Amino acid sequence: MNSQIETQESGKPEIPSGYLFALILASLVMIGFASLSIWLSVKIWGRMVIPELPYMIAAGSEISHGLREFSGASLKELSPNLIILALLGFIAIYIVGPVLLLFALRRRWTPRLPATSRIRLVSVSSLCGGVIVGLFVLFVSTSFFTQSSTVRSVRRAQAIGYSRDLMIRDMLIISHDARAYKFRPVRNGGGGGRFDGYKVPADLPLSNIGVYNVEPADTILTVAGTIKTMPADDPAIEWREPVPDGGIIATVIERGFSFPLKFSGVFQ
Amino acid sequence: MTQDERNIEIRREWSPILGWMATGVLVVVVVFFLFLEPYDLWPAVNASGIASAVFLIVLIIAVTRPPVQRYTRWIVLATALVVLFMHWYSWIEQQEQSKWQRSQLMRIHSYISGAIATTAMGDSLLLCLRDYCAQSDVPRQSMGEVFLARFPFAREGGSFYTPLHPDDSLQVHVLVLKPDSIQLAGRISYARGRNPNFIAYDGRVGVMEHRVTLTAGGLRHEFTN
Repeated sequence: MNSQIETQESGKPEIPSGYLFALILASLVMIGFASLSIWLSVKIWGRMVIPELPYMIAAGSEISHGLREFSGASLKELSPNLIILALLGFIAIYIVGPVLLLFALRRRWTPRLPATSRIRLVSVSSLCGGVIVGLFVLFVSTSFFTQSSTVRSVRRAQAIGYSRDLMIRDMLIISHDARAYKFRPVRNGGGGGRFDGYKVPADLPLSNIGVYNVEPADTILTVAGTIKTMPADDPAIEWREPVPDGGIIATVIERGFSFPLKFSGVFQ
Repeated sequence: MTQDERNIEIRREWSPILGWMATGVLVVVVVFFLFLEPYDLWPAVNASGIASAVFLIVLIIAVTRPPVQRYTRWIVLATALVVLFMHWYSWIEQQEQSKWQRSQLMRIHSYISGAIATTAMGDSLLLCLRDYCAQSDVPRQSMGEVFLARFPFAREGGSFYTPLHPDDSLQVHVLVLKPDSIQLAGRISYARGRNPNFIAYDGRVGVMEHRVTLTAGGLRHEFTN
C-alpha cells in the first residue's frame, strides 16, 4: 500500500528502467533455459521433462547402456546433450530455485528493509523459486513414499519372469530327452517312434524350481510344469512371499515344441 | 526514497542473489566435470549431488542468519534436512535399481542366448540320432559317420553353424567328433555367463557357453557357463 502511494505521489517508476530491462532479460534467459531443457528432453527421450532430476538422467543413461549391451552394440560415450541436461537439472533445481526462494523468504522475515523493493523482490523471487522448489519437494516426497513399493513390484515381476524362463528351459531339455527317447528303438530302451512309456529321468540337468508331469499319447507328448519354489541363485531377488501359483503346458511333437505354450497363474 | 537510493537498494538486494547463484553454478559445474567419466554419468552426478547438498546447507545457514529469528532458522534447516534425506534415499534407490536392471538385462539376454544355442544344437543332434536309429543297413554307420553324412562340412574343432541372417551371432563348434559320440559347444558372441572367470572352449573369458553331447543313449546338456 505504501509503495503504491509513494509511486503515485512521486510520479516516478518504482524500479528504474535499467533494472526492469535486466529483469526481462533474465526472464527471457530463464525461458530459453527451460526451452533448451525441454528440447533436449524431447530429443533424447522423446518426452517432455522439465526440469529432469539429475539422478533420473543418470538412471536413464544406465538403462540405455544396458539396452545397447543387450543388442550387442558397443557402449556409447555420454552425449553432450545428456551432460547439458544433467547440468541444467542441477542448476535449476538445486541452485536457482532455492536461492530465489530463500532470499525472498529472508526479505519477508526481515521487516526492517524498505517496503518498496521488498514487495517486488518477494513477488518475483517467490514465484520463480517457489515453483521450482515446490515441484521438487512434491516429487521427492512422492518418490520417497512410493519408490520402495515400485522397486518391490519390479523385482517381483523380474523374479516371476526369471522363474518362467528357467521352467521353459527345463521343458526344452525334457522335450529333447523325450524326442531322443522316441527315436531310439524299443530294444535300446526307447519308444520306437512313439512317446509312450516316456518318463522324465531323475538325472536331467533341470533347475529344480518346478515339478513336471508328462503325458505321452502316441506321437504327441504333453509336458505340464508347475512352480514349486522360487529361484534361489540370484542374490538380487529375495522372495519373501509364499510361492505363487504358476504353470506352463507345452506340447511336444517330433520337431520340438508345438507353439504356443500355455501359461497359467502368475506366468500369464 | 530517491531514485539513487532505490538503485542502491535494489543493487544491494540482487547482488548477493546473483553472487550465490554464480558460486553455486561454478561449484556444481566444476565438481561435475572433475568426476565425469566417458561412459558413466553416476560418478559426476553423485559428486555434484554432494556438492549441491553442501551448497544448500551453507546457503540456508547464510540466509537464515540474524536478524532472522533463531526458531525460523532451525525450522528451515530441519525442513531442508528432511527433504534432503528423502531425496538422498530416492537417489540411492534409483541408482541401485538402474544398475540392477542393467545387470538383469544381460542376464535375460544370457538366458535367451542359452535357449537359442540349446535349441539349435539339440535339434541338429536329434536329427542325427533319428537318422542313426532309423538305419536298417548292415553294417550300420557309426554316429560320427551319420553326423558327417548330414553335415559334411563339420570338422572336429571347427565351426559348425551357418548364421541364418547378418545379426545371427550364434556360434557352434564341434568339440568332439568320434564314432560313438559328438559334442557341440555353443554361445552367442556377446552373451555373458554366470562365472566371469570361466574360460570357454575358444579361450574367451566369462562368456556364456552351453554344451550338448550326443551318444546312442540320447542327449546330455551341460550349462558350462
